[in-house]
Amino acid sequence: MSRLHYESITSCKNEILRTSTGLDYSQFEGGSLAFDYEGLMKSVGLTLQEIARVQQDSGVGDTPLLELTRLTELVRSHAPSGMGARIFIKDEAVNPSGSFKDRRASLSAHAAKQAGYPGLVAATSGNYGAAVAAQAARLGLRSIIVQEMYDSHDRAQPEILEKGRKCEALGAEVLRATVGPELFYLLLATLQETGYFNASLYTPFSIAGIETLGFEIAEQVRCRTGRDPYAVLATHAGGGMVTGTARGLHAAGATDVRIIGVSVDLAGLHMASDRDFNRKSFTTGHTGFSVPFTTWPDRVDVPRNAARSLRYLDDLLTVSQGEVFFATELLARAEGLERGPAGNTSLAAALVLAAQLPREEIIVVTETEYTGAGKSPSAQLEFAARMGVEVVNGGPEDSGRPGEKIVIPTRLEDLRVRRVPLDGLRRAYLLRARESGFYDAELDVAFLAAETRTTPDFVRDVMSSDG
Amino acid sequence: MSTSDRHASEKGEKIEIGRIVPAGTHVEVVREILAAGQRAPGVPEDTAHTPYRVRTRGILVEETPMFGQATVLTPAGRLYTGRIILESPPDNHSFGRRHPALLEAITSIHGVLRGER
Repeated sequence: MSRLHYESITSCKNEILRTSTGLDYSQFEGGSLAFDYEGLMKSVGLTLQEIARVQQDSGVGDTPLLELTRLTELVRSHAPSGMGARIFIKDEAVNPSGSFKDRRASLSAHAAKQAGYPGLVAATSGNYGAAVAAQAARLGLRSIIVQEMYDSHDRAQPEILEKGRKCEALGAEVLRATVGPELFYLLLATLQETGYFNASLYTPFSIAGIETLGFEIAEQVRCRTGRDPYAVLATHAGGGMVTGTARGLHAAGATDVRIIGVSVDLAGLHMASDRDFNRKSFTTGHTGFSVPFTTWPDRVDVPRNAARSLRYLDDLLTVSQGEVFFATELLARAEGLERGPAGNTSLAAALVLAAQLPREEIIVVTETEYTGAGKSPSAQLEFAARMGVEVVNGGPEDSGRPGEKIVIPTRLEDLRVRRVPLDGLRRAYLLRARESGFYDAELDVAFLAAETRTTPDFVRDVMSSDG
Repeated sequence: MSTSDRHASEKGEKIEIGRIVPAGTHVEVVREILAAGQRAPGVPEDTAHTPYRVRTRGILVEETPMFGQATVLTPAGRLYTGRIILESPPDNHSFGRRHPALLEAITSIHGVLRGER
């Protein structure tokens, strides 16, 4: 390997991506920023019912919707009179590899198998690797997971080590990389060398696979309560969960349900910094991914990201690391559900939001994930302390400082959510679009209005601004 | 101290440089992809000063001295070459100890669930 090889591989990027996804993205392009998003999604070539069948055959989906009655009672015990919405959670941990990511991987594996690829490659540091490994195994395909795992001192978060272990346990080869954006090069080189399918998190297969989750939520909530939920809370990173769930809800006719993204606040930490990498206690579902991906979704390992969260988000909230740890311990002890961090990020926000909504309303946390060694709050906090992060108890007046101080609340009523103004994210997206050099005022205004859920006038206004 | 030495010493294992690792052993190898100073444009300065390395695990194809260049057969059936840094690499991450601040939160939760406040 050398700098020369690095440059030669990255210069063949488009060809490698076309070959490895079996998808010619240029057919959806119009020569400017705008592209045919719905056309891209239709390229999956399966109806929602057919997707559900593919997933059923792989043991994926149709997961239980659990009502968290004890947590709802606890919320009501401190909420104003008449307040305290019912909280439900979709127990996605029961999917084959332990998270909703099986939904995403199942369609990729299905597409790879049908097209005759010998295996799948995915670049991820999350549960998705395990899902790709599991779904590949079921179809007799090979899998390679490219994972950002260590800092330059060979230190890794226990949660990442667990995710790597799980991939290997499910039969995958795991390439364990140090911190850096060169992960993309590693992915490209591996795709070129193996001829495997690029099971990117951001292909239309991956996003369409999540639509069944939104559809199931609508159907199960209606069946249990006779109404639609007021809101779903989706832990937000790259945008897949928000996009796929929203599309599934819309397909079920549940178009009025509010889509609320929730991320762990990691403001101030740089995701490609060797120093900062191990000073965070969450590997995904945090603002280090959600803010850049929301404001520029196409920063991914395929030409166009099928996850476009600004099209669907009604609200974006953040919670602190300490609040998620508290929610994790509370869920285990109050409801008997020991689950991992991703869903509990949204749960922490749900516990706050429920207290602000009338009792007859319903809110749904879209996922749980499996937990175990490495993923538990105790493991992550022991590591954080070793990395020099201060871990203390505290009230709502101090939510800590990412990378320096984690504040764990001791009372449910001390949890808070912070709102990220969507208009700021929309402006950031549009300004980035303007700077891209591909913006065409004639061709792109309607597209950008759809992308940001705004109006053509809003788009023109921002595009002609000084900002 | 090199990566591999640090690894072995962290676990309190005796470092035997040059010891022959038999073929068929499960090992971890490391490969340097980019040297420090050759990193991708735009990486933060602290990262730019470190090499980009990749490790993987597999079955050693031929006997090789510890820390020597080796070829392994990976679970995907690929041959991958790198320097051996671990013999029988462990998965020894754990549930950890309860930090006092976490314990305080858990104790408070137990109190509420017992109806004590």
